Amino acid sequence: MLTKHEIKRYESQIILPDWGENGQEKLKASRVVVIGAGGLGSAVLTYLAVAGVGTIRIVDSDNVELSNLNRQVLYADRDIGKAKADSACKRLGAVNPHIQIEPVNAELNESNVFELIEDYLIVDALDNLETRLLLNRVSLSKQLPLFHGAVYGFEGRATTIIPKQTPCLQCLYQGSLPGQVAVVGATPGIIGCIQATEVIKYILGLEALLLGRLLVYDGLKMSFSQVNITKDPACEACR
Amino acid sequence: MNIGLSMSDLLKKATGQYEPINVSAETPLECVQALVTRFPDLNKWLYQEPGKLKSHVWLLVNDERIYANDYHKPLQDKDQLFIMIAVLGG
Repeated sequence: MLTKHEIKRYESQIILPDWGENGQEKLKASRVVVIGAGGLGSAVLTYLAVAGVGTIRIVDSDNVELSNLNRQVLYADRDIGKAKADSACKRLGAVNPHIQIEPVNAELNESNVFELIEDYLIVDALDNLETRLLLNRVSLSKQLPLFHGAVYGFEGRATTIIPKQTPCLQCLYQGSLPGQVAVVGATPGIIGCIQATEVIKYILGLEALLLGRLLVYDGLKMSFSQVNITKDPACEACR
Repeated sequence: MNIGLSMSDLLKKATGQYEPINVSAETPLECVQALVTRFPDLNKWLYQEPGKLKSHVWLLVNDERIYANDYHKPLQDKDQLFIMIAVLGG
């Protein structure tokens, strides 16, 4: 049940015909885990929090570094050296005190991944293939949606994975470009916002998710395009 | 077959080729080889070993991702091949 204060807080979205108080209740009852509180995570977490997603778990084992601050907008200089999950929790708690934030200052691995994800909706805001594929295995095993985003420089990509219905992450990725990843701060901001939009649409049951479609953002050309993605018949994860 | 070929931003920068080009090839893999012949520097970006693409290389035909089992399938005249690099920054 929404309080009067919550109804006022969210009125700009509640008045949308597809949203309403019923939609806001759905958001309040929902649980989302965001893996990675970096550039993508900063945007996803912020917009899920202000939208009123009731429970948000943040999983990240890193501490804030000076070199993060060109893109990880949840943090400020005063956070340098502190755990990202804790700093993000504090910031988001100030942004929206009506939601539950669960910071987990831990590295996701085989032994804790099922416990940390439970049955939460999964947002992939990571920066490495190995852990992304671990998330993919949990998504497939538990039949949980996985909201994927990735960036490099001015380029970004996003898709939404629904087990059995769409290709999985391992269909798409067998490897990635080695070396340090250059990132322009606005790029994960844009892709993270798209991921947050997908999560909200999924919770509210709105069309049309990025299913079987990879959205490709090119900040240099300032264009969005999409490519159709199908299951890889040779994929060992989802066949 | 006359195939239109374009590349994602990273490869454009590596080649200095910013506009789509046309190549004469019968299959997706032949298109990639034609591109590398024209821009030899792409060899290290695209090939693990002769004839085998690196795992971060994505091929798309007419805006649809294809996988290894389709790399040798015949293309149609005027098909469009797009080469992307898998990136995973966050």
